[in-house]
Amino acid sequence: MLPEDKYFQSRDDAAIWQRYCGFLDLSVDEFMEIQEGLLMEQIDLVAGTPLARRIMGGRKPRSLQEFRNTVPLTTYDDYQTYLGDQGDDALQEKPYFWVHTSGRGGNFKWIPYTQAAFSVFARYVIGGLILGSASRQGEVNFRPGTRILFTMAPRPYASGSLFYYLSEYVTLRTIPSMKEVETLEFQDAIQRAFKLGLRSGVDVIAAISSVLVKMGERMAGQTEKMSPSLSMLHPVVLYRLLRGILRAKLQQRKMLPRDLWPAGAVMTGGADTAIYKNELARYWGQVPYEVYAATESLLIAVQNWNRKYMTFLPGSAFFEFVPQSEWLKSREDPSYQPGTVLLNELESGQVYEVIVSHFYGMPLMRYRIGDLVQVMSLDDPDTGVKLPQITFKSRADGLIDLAGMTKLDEKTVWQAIASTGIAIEDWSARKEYENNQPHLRLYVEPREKVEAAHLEHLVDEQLREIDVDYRDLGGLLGLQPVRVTLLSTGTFGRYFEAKRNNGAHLAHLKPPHMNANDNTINMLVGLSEVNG
Amino acid sequence: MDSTDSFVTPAYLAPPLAAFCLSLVLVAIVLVGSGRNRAHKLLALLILSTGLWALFIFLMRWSPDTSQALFWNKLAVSFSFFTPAFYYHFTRVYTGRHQSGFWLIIAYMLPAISFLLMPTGLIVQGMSVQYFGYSPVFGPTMYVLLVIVYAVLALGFRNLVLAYRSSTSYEERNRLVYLVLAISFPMIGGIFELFPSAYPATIFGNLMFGGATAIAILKYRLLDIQLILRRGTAYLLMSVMVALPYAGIIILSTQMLGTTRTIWVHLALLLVLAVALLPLWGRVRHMVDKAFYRDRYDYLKALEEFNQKAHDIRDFHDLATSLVRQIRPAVKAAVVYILLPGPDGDFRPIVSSRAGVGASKLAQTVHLEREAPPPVLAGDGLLVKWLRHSDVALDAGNLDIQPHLQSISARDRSELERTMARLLIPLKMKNKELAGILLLGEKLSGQPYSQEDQTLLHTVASRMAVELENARLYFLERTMRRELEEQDQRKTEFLHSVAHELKTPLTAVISSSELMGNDYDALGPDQKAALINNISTSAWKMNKRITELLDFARVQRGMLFLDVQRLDCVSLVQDVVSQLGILFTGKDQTLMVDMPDELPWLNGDRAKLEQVLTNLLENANKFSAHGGHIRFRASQLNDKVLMEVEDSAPPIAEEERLKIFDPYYRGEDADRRQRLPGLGLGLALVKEIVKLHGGEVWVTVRPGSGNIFMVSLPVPGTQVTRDIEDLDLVLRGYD
Repeated sequence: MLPEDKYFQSRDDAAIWQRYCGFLDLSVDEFMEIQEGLLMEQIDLVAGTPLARRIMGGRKPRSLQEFRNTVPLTTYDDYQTYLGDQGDDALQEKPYFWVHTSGRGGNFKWIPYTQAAFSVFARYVIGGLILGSASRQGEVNFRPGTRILFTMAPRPYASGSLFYYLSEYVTLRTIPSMKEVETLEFQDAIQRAFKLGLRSGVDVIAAISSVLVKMGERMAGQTEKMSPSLSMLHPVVLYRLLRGILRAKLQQRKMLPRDLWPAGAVMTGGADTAIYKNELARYWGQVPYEVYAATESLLIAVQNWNRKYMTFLPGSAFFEFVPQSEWLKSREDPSYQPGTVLLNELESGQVYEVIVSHFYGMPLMRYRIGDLVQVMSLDDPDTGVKLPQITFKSRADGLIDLAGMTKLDEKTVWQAIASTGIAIEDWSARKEYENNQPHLRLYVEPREKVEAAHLEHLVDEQLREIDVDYRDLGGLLGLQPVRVTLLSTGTFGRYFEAKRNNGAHLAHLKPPHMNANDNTINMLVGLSEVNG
Repeated sequence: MDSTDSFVTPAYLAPPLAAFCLSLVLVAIVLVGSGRNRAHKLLALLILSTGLWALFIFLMRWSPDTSQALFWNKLAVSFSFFTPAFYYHFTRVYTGRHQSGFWLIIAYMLPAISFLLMPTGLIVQGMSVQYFGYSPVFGPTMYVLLVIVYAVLALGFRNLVLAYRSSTSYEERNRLVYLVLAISFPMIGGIFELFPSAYPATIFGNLMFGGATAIAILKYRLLDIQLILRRGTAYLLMSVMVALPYAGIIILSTQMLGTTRTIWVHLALLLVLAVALLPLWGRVRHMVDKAFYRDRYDYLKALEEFNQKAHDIRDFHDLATSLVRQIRPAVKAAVVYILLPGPDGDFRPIVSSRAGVGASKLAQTVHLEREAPPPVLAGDGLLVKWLRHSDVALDAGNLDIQPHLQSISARDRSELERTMARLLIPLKMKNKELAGILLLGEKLSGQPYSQEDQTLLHTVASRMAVELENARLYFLERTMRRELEEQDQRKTEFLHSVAHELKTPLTAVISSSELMGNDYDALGPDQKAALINNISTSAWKMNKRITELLDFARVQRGMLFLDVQRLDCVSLVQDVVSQLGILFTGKDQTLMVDMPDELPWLNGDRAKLEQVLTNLLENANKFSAHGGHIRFRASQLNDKVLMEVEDSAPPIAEEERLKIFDPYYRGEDADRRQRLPGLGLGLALVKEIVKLHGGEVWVTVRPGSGNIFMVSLPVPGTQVTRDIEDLDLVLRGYD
């Protein structure tokens, strides 16, 4: 029997809820006690390793305060020599597995995970699956054997690794199987997942929000043109199709994905989740359940069962937070060591950069993960959670500063574009100068005919609605800083193909939404002109 | 059989009618007592379904002919299929066990299928008349449905058994026993229905089922099943004990003596038995009670003995020994430890009791181990922290369940796993401080500790904590007395040292000045210069000691102030090193200085910091052997300047490192025969001065290469230095 299955076999729902979701009942003091206990244990574990000795300057901190005073904040550059080639000589123990993500300039960041660490993350992921399929406190709908429709990146990306190794802890039926996902191209894996899901049924959908939105859009537009195929003759598939058609007809609307794949939970993450929340709910029948995950720490925070805000996981990593003012100083002067605060010192409404220190013999210490989160409140009266409630704000390097007055993040720009009502295939934004005046340049591939000037006006209007500082920028300085470059139809698709043909890895197939470099922008514009 | 008169008797009609009436009463009781409880509502539906079934059976039995009986029987059978559905649903809700909804759907489909198929005759084909009354003739589908009914009932049965096994509550387990027993009655009774000529026993099974289930839920506290069994066993034993001699005497008197069984013989026997009955009844009941309440009996005995001994025993260790000796057999634990905090804060066992290996004499083969064996729990670990906050016992099975305990250290976890610890009970003093931990290994039966076990352990633990508190107070008193004695001794030694430290140079001053006064003219210029130098050196030595004393007096009064200025760290070090160079050459020692060309400027008192470095370097010089190496390093580490003095002296013992910065503390020489010279104030002053600068000083040992004294001082601009600057401004303002 798998390690986590035994709890579902032998314990009642109350105990299961407490094991996997009980962290929501912790007080801030209890949370901090756990954090400090695990950190001190971690220091004991790794103090003798070459990597930790280097990071800690040869001195083993004896207290949390000493740790924060003597160990500097780090970035991946501090670990590159030791971890870049997946060597384990400098580590405390041989890793259970390695994961990687895209780094700057196409270099991968490799992160090792110990088995002890993963067993904790496995518990938290199951907690996320329970919370994601619950509508009230104590409700446990997740069971071993749950069918998970998986449309994320395969191993050694974090999401793929997470579900691959999770199946060694709890019985899961991923659709397609995690081994099959690794043999398929990403696009093919997505198609295969939905095809198989039609036959097997689905309990949970674990997917990237944009994939689900695209899928929903396509289905909503294509159901009436659905061409029959041999696979549809399978009795179960036929039954689901007929049921879906009947549901849609009864509600006098087009068929939506939720009619074919009615899932108990839709688990997703990323900046776009909040923007497409309503669309996702409409297409998939569930308000998406958001998690905050990163390659460097597989799961950092998860939403409560009311799907409002996220709560940090106490055993995930030791958390410190750089206040926005300190973060700005360090951005202007990279040599500046910003001060940090702890979870019990967070203030409502403030934005912080997240700093993590690993537990369980893993290597990162006071690591600048590069994400900004916003503390929405210090508790959640709706659910009774007494821990700070956060939302993901943006990547720290994903902000566009306009005239020092406003800092636009990916979520804000995305929301503004989405709210224009113009159908967009994809976009990329960065700061450019025109006559020494900074402006926000959007490279946009529209799906419908639109004039650049009109789109500029619409985006500007939406930004004024969404962002108070941006409104001031316009109001006080009389600036309209949005500029739009329209890209021809299929530009992003061609970019994707060109990258794939060049052997680029999955993480680099799409251009970044914010602050893309010159090469990327030139390539996009070039590909647009080829077609135009 | 044309007439129904032969079997339509009150005995035939009464059971289903009684079952129906009982069901109505029970439904009312359940509904009144249930509030909004979903499980109880399902229970009410369950009893109602059995009641309706009983009503239709009654109407069937009352029918004048088979055709009418068939109608009522079909209704009864259709309604009977609700019973397994409600029962299974109830066990799911009541035990909180989630299973696939498949079986629930199947269970609720049973009555639906039954109602649909009933008119076809596939379930009930007709009625026959048997010796006891009407008996249904089942169709082929009935047997298929019955298999499903039994499968559904078995699943409910399984839910209850699993809940029983995971429950630690005596009451809960007892209630579940009721429910398990209850479902057994109709399951057994139902088997009789399959044989048309067998007497229909389901009605009795259902009667017992409804009653037992409702009692289990609502009235358990008033009517303990153990009580029924206990009383029943006692009566049965008594009956046997009375009946056997009675029958024996009658048989004997009839066969051997040939006496006829007259009324007189019976009366005489009854009289004898009646006289013997009362004491016999008392003995039998006591015996049965003891057998049934073995656990509680042992608990009470253990408590009684502990209470007696706690009064008699003054020695804490004996008390602890006595405690574990009584606790272990009472709760039938494999091992019991009492853990107390050691000097390092970790909790270590001071006494333990283990069950012996011999299976037959487990309770007797107890041996005590005075040496403290593992487990050892980290005093600053999350586990002990949790126990500090908690007033309840910690079931080790819940370590993976409670979020606070999921993160306990791997060391503590492995200690608990290694010793197979199952229960940890905090021993709390009146002030809520954690005095110790009562740790129990697994039960010999392998079962979890029951609520009753835990209640006993809590009672004893709180009693134990009182004794521990007394012992702690006694220990505190003893420690304070010892400390006072030590302080007194240190002061005496200190006065002796002061006298010695001042008298030695004073003697040199007196003897040199007397020599000069008496024979001034006879002395040559070199001798005069040597004597003057002697007087001067000795006077400076005295001055140094007196300055130390005065400085320390200021520290103690909180009056040692800093003259803060911006300092070049490099020049500060260079000055001190050049002043002390002569010391090292005098002992052929090598002083290596490892320092970058530039270091951040500090805010501090130059003279005081010079005093710090001088003291550390002088110590290094003093305690390192001739020809030894002394290394001085200075570097910047983030927002601090770190200075290290590494000597080649013998490593300082760990316990000494803890005290070395204490005032008046003087180490012992290498042979540990006598105290080292000095007042024992130098390092205490170093610590105070560094502290005033917002820094830290500590000592570490580098194996094979002596000791390293480290001083860290904050670089200006950090919060600590701002605090110093503010403090300095305030002090200057007062000046």
